Amino acid sequence: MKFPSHPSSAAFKQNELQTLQYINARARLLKDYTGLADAIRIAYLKYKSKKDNTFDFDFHVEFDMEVQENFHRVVVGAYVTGDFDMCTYFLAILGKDNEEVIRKYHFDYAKPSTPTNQPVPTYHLQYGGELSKHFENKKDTHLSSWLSVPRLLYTPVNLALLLDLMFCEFHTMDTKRVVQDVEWRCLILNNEQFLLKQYYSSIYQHINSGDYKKTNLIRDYCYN
Amino acid sequence: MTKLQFKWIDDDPVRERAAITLGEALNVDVEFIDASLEDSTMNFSSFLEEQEPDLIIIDHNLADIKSGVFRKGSTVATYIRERWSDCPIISISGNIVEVDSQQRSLYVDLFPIERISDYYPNILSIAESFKDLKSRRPSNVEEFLELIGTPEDDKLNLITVLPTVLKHDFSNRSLLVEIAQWIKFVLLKRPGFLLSEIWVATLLGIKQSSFHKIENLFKKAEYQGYFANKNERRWWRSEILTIIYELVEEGTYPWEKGRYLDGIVDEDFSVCYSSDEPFPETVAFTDDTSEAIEVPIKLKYSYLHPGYESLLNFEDIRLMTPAE
Repeated sequence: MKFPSHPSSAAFKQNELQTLQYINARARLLKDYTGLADAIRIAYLKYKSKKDNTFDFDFHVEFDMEVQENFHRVVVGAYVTGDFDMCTYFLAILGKDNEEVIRKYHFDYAKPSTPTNQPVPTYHLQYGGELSKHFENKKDTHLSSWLSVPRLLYTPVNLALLLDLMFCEFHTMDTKRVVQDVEWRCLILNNEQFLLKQYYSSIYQHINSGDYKKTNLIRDYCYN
Repeated sequence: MTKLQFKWIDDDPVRERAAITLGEALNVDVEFIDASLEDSTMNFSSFLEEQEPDLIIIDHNLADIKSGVFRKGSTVATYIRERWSDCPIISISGNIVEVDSQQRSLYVDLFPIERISDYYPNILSIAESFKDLKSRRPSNVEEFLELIGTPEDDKLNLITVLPTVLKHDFSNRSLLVEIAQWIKFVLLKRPGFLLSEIWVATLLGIKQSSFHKIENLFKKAEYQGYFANKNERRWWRSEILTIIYELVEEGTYPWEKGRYLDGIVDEDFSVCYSSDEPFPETVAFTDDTSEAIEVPIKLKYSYLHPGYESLLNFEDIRLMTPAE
């Protein structure tokens, strides 16, 4: 099995709950992003009351933030169902009047045993892609969301890593304050160790194993 | 059990009757010290040789003292604190509005003399809280948070808003007074970690007058820490939220979920005081006078109270927009 270290769905969801708890317990971290902080609090309360980890993790928030010197409505979401029947994270930027999706990126984990029409990278990034229920009534004129390919090799993503990516890329003084904060970095370190460390380690091990040859490329290793 | 010992310092001998009434009502011993009788300096010096009481009540205006250096209760409080740094000192005044903030800061609290009986629960809670605090003086911030029953979810956020003395200076001589003033004037007064009944009801999407119908469900959330009393009932917001999310599946937000609680009917749903619209998001004062009441209101019909700054982890204090 490829990426044998990928956490179980229960552990994965439990980690998402811990991320929500961690941020919720440190309100100062997102004090400049109250809409995001409120959504995290609501999600924490919702999932904290679940007595086991069999819940589907469904997170969605829309809030305004500065993106390349203009304020835009940004949409961040996550949908992790069952035993990774679906595991998708997305980051979108809305345009005029918040009615049009001008950018949308999906970060997916395609469970190796899931049948697909064509091989896909286990962890991949998709530009555009189908508009989920969270984008009802939104136009996608420039996005052509019917187009699902290419799926680009990417690293595993979860909520903390996605938020960190967003804060790093939508650079302002406020986002700089977040990503440089000691406690934020601690959260990201924990999540890098939870998801990324083993991911890179697996690929490294593949490269250094006798299996790495022209019939078994890194590309092959990373594709389901 | 030994009765609590109070001392009441006043320059108006007529108030000895009020001191006796207070003692009887609260089942405490009250010694009345008539400051108008003799040299006040000598009087106060001699009583400081006695055993430290559980509470001292001082008239703020000691205008009728015959001689001596004291003319204000706040000066007496400073003098007493030199000797009894952990002794709670409260003040009474005929006109509490005239007491400036610096003078107020020398008391644990200040009450209007003409309505003193309304504040008996507050006074008793101060004495009992100090007595307990003296025996369980916290030595670090974690102990302090435990002592006031802070929910796990609130601990880190609460630490960020504590004054320096309550984070790093637990050997401070006036620690207990600092604790008392922070709890009474910040934690209990400013909605945020703790919410009053109208804030809780509004958070749950119901009228304050209907809260009694569901109050029992949230018993665990009620603040029972130091200085809690029936005049200032408060609930931990994080506990209220935890309970409502455990109890109700329907709805996304607490103000939606509250309306699904058993016994709650349409007539119980909160409405905006200004417009009668459903789901008022906040609570505002009707005006900036001391007689103002708090009402549930839509954000758009309110504005930030100019007398209060916004504080992280606390609700904004707002005023209702006057009708045009």
